[in-house]
Amino acid sequence: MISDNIDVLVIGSGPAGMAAAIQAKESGSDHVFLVERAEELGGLLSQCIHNGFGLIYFNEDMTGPEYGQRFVEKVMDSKIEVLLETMVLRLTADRKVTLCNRNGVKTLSPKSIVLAMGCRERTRESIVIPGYRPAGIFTAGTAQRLVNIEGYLPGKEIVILGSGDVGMIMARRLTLEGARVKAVVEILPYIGGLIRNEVQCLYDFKIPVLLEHTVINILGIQRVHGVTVARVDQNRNPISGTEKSIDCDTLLLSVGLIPENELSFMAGVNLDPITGGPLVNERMETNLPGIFAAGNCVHVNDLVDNVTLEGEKAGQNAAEHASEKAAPKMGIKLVAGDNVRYVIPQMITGEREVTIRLRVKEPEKGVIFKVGDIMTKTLKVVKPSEMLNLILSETHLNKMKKGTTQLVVSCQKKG
Amino acid sequence: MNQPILEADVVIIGGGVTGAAIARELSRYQLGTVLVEKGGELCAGQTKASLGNIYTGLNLVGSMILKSVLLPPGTPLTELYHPHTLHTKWCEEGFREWESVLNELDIKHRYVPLTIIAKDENQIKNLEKIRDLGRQLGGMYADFERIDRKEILAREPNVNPEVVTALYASRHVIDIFPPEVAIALAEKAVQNGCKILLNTEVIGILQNGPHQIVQTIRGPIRTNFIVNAACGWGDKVCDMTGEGRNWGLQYRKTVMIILDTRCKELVNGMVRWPNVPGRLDLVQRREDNILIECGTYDPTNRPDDTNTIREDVIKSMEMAKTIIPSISEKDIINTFTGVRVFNTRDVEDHIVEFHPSNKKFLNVMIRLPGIIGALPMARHVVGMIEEAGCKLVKKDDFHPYRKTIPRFRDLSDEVRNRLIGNDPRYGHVVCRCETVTEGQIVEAIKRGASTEEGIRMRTRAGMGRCKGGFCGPRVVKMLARELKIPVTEVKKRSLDSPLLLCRSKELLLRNEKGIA
Repeated sequence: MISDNIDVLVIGSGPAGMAAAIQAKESGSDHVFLVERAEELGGLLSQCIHNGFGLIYFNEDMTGPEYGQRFVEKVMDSKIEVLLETMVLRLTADRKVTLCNRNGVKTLSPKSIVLAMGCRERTRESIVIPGYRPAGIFTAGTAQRLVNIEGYLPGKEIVILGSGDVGMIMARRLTLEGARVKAVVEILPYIGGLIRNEVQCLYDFKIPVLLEHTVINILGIQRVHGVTVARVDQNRNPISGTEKSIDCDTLLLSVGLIPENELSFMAGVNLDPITGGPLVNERMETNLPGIFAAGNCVHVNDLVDNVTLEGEKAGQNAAEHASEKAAPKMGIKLVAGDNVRYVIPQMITGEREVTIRLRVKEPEKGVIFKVGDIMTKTLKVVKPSEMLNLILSETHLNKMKKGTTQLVVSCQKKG
Repeated sequence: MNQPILEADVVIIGGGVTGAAIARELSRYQLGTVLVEKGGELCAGQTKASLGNIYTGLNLVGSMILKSVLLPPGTPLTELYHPHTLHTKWCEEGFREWESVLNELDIKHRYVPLTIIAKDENQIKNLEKIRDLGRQLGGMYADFERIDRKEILAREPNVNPEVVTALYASRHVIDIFPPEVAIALAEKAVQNGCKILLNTEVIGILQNGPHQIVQTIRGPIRTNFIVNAACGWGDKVCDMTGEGRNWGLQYRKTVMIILDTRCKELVNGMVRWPNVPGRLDLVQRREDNILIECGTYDPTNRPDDTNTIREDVIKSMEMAKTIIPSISEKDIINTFTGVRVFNTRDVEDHIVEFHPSNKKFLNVMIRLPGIIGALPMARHVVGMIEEAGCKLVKKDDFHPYRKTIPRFRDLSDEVRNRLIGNDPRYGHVVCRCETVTEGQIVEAIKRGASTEEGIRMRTRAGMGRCKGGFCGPRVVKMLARELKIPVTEVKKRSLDSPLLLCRSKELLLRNEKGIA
């Protein structure tokens, strides 16, 4: 059985978790554990068989499984203890973590913990799509697993609600599989995911897009046989008289991702109501000392490369915490201002360079970002779907007035 | 005519809580009992989508008060109480009886406190009516206390702070999960010799000498007696005898909302406004979730009109917030619609009677609340069958006790380790949200689950916030593996609800061969 002399225990082996475990090991932790609920390492990477991974981190265009494999091999080579098909049942503020697998239930007390549980998909139920409850309604990610891993098609005639990245990728994937994607329905006046997916997955395959529309009814008592869609007004309410039915056997949902934080919540980690993830400082540490977090359980990222970088940071600092190195004081709060939905991290030292990640609320052209009065950056175009990185260098930080406790990050239209 | 696929002494039509309770009761005797259900699982209709508490006292008094609007002013309140109806008798008897049977059948249950709150003059007047009638009736109806604002907030801290007074009863509501009750009753019936046929819609009823033939889509069943427990479809089944009855069935739908377990602390029990005609407004703890039923009973013309209307959900949430202001749309993990069936021949009561021209065809038309009275109802039905000439001989080897599928989520680590030691599949957690293991899923299949919904109702797998996003594909694979069927044959519930339509590449191969 597992010994209880653990420096760093990482929960979740997706890109954030694998990077955290590898980095913790490289930063000098002897005993690193990587806990995964699924049958294999890699999290969702193994079902993301499309390309576009690794452009930043490896400067290569890779598929999800290829990107993941690089890390899987490193994990295997670096004597990290891997526990597969192992669920974390409980987590406490003082870092007692209860694991469950076929060998039994056991509670461990690692010196540091990295939360890397990723995110889950919003469901038909959570957005309250009315109608019957037939078979044939899937979230896009579940459909992706079914098609790419299990080898089954959820349906033949498909309508996709929401134009998130997974939804668009599945529109292309199912078309390539011979299914007919009859429409991608988006409630907003613009596509929700990345531009490259809009072009490569929808336009290149001539998939009909219905912007400012939503699904107002699901037809079929036992299996979906159609959906009713309608145009929406500015308040996103369906406009009566614009309803039309589309015959289909399947409705896929790509209506948003929610950071998975049941364990964080259970332990008493403070969560940000906007991101749904833990409030973290520049070390990716939560309010609970020794509990770190990284990747999509902190905030939903658009690119895996950023997730890996966050995981590495969390892993390195988790290793430092495990070796009882004193933690620096986080004295400055980063606050989301005009047209900024959130900023990660929420707390910094103000003493060393830090990359801050943020998303805007509304799309805009010709904008200027300000971080307090110490930094500005202009951008031609911003979109809520694309995460932005701003680097606060030591030169910027040196401009900060003494006694500063808060920096507002804002995005305003130029001129 | 085709050869019968089965011979029986009694055929029960309908696998809801009513049919299941009758099946269990009949399985005490040396009889061939067959239950046929048209759905792909038991509890395909009302039982699945019902509020389903086992309740007494104030809740019943509340529904009596509702009727007062129909009476002339000045009628004494006690006129509202009809002690001799089946409805009243079974509610009273049932409530006393259920606890021991819930234990016997190892069904999870919990007494939850009931708080009927009032904030304005009108509500206080309604509340006092309930109080007065409860006190006049005495016994279990009077077993409550009146509490003030401070006490209310001490017991239900998240209640609307504008409340001024409430009636509070600690033992008037037993929180149960309705499908678990029906399934447990059915399991007992099966263990004691009853046969259950799912996906077996009845399409005709014929007389054949001294016997009756129940024609189903799977073939005929020859039987002596027939019990029609088809509820919303009961009138159609009755019509098949060749002579219909005037039931005047009315269907009323209500929407129910489930909130994430994260909010379970919002209420400790059931909190509701005093009843007003045509409405139900309550928020309650259902196991570790919050259940909201706030709304009207809207007429519909079909017993399977479970179509959820968006506006109903919005209105329901608005009303729920008047009870518990901190309720949020963000925490909704499920919404569903239940259809309640009422007969207009005797609106106030259940109708249990032999068909006037067929003394071996028993109609059991149950109105709500159905679960609370199910046990005395089943005995009553069996008694009627006996009176009609069916010879009942008790079995010596009737097994009353049932062990539930282990509820891994609720167990201590010590017990969990013992389970895993005996069967490592109990260490493999498949449903993260509800902490359901492979061991439980395999056991559910052994006990008769054959669809995704069957697994969900028996184990809770897929009932949590991610709605099967993680466990769904795994559950489907386990069903296929255990039932030895192709994955594409796994259904959500009935035969016409396939989950996965074909293998990857199948469509491409078909197109290549030129087949559309």
